[in-house]
Amino acid sequence: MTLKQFQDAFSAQLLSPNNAHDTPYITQSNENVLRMKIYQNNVYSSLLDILKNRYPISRKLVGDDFFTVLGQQYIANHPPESPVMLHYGESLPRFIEQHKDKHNIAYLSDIAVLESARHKAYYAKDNDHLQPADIARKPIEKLLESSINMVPSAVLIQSSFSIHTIWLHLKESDQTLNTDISHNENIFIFKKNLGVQTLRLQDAYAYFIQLLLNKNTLGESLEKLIEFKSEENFEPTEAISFLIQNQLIKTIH
Amino acid sequence: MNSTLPNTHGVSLKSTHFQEILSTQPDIGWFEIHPENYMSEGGLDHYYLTQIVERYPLSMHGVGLSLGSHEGVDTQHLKQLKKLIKQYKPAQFSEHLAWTKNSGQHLNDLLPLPLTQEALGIVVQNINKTQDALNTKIFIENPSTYIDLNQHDYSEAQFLNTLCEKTGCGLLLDINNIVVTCSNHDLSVEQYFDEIDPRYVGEIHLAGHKNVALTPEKMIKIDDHGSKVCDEVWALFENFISQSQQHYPVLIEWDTDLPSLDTLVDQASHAKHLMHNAFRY
Amino acid sequence: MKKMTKTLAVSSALAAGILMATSGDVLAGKKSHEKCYGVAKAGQNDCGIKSQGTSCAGQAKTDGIHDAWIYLPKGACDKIVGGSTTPTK
Repeated sequence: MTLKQFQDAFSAQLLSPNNAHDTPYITQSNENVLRMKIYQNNVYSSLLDILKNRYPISRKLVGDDFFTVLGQQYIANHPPESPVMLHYGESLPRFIEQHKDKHNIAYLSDIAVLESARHKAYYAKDNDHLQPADIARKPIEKLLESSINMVPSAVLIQSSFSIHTIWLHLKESDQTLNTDISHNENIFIFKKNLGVQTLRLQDAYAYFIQLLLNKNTLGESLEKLIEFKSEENFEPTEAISFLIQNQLIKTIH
Repeated sequence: MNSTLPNTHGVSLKSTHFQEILSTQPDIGWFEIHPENYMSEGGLDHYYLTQIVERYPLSMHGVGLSLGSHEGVDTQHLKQLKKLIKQYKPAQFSEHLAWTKNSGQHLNDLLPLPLTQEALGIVVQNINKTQDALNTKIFIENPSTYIDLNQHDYSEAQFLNTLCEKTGCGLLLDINNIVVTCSNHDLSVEQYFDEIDPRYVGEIHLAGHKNVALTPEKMIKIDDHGSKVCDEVWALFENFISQSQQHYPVLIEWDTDLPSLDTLVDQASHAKHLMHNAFRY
Repeated sequence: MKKMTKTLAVSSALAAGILMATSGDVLAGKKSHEKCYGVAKAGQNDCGIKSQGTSCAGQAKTDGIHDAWIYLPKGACDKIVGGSTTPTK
């Protein structure tokens, strides 16, 4: 009997507790089944706590019981691949999307995407942006031909549902939300001065941010923004100012 | 890193207490963190920890190295530890006699190890690799265990003594874990203390545990760090100090149902007080 | 001709945008020195403290582990009008 055989069997038993396993070094007894359960509970409860913490609004939407089952299914199929639990649960939104037939909440995975992006932004590198003065020093002609790298916390989510409205409502209220949630919304998440920002963007600005994220040059992106058709008012000047004031530009090249 | 953790009272550093610690600067000798919780590029936790280490010594107490793993310790994890040690300059680094990973899966729990010859060889190798990579003496904590593994070549105390002898590592004696483990496996606490070589001990942990019914007849102790240190653990601590006639860094751990910072500081001050009094005998 | 107008519009938007961002720089510079304490308002800006993270404590929880989906969502999704959980066909 080797340590490897023991650890293989013990971890298999931990992750699929409802299957019978024969683990070396453990005498089969009813009491040992209960003792093994303590370890199983430690693993599942601690990982479930991590998911609850990262996805509080998703959990609120489906309720505790459903979230527990969802979490347990996720843990069994996607146990952590790193000892750093800050990163655990990143693929839960995809898992929620794959199991849509179990919950039938069309916008649930988008809410989870939003929550996950906020979590990642929180732990992203701080003060990773170019100073406004350094940007202002660059010649305009040069800037027009440059593309930008945004800070790593910046994520744009374009949902076909009003997920910002839903998220904001549930964050603060237990009341019924009486607005139509079938309108698309653009959510832009990033970190500024150590705080995570979760902003809803007008279509024109989201379009502009997406162009920049796709590595179009500032000139091309601005040109397309100016041509963008929208019923809402927007100012290309403001879009530029927004990028700089919100510390979104990491590098220009 | 040289082990320079002061021989006085410390508490676990919890993010909910960051601001209060900085504004009230409580009388605490040092703080302990789990380095895994700081393995991110940024975030407020780093912002506050940077300020706290300017005022207090720090101990890093790892939970993810998996020293008992047959696969060996993860080089990438050691690299991240090295980076954090360089950044925050802790006075001591400790880990557990346990395993947490297998075949690329990390189970987020301190799992029990059969105390065999084979396991000893593996843990010795893993500790050596860690000490070499971190360039420091590390301290190994005795774990809380809940299941009987029926094949042991050593008692836990013998196993730990041998690890220290073979690798030069030190011992982090968790007195609550001794009570939990001995009670859960019907072992003698007295014998555990008799066997432990006090010369290896470089830090002490104290915490609360919970008694739950395993079966209607059998109670089991869970090391949940969710309450005050119990009388039995205080008495064993006093006894250990009065016999060894040494001062140690002593930590109050509290993780679930977190109390106010005041309660934590009170518990730690009590530990300090007991440690000083034990000298008068 | 049209192209030149467009280029002019693009470069003036860029120049004006930079000016707008940097003229407010005195204010912005001051803001970045403000300490970020606690949870900011309205859910827009969180400087909140995250979880306790991983610990070496055990958990005394004894909830069963389910190997099947035995529950239906029964949470705040009921309170989102038009967010029904009944399947649409």
